[in-house]
Amino acid sequence: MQNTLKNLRADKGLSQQALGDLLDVSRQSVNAIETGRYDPSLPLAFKIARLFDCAIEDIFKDEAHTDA
Amino acid sequence: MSPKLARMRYMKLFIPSMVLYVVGIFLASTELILNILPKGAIYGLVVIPAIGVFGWIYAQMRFVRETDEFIRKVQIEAILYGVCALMCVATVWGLLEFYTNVPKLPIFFALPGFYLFYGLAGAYLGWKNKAICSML
Repeated sequence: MQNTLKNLRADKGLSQQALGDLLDVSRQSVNAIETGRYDPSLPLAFKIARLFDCAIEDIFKDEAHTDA
Repeated sequence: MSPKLARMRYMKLFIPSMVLYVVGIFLASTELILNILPKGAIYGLVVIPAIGVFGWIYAQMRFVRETDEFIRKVQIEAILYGVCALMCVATVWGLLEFYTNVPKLPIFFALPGFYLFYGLAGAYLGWKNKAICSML
């Protein structure tokens, strides 16, 4: 699943560690989500969306749905 | 709970448990001590390292429960790789023991064997996921 987390984080001037601290997850988790190696659970996706004040669909793009 | 706090709680239980295990193994394998102890006490002595093992595996279970979801996924994969490798070796070696003259492998080595495979899997998964496997 593609996502815009890296850009959103950069816009806020946050490091991966700082974002991880805000989300209560490790820096490794932020890195894995940003690089698309890990898709977060729904509760974490909601938490990310709330933090950046936008909808989940604005951050995470379902590649299969987009291609159809 | 934050992953940092989960890791701190893990280390707080893991370190004393590991010390207990090492001390227990040392005592249970020192002939001088085994020679002076009555037979009944030896049964008690060999339980000491098992208490250490229980402590650190409980710490590991708690860490997996309390850490974040990505680290949990990496940990569970590493544990499964470790169990899988150990079971494969046990199956092959067990059958060889039945039908050939290979030496009997003491069951004591199951635990260090598991942690060897788990450690290798954790290092591989950490490298693959660019995530330090926090348990190692």
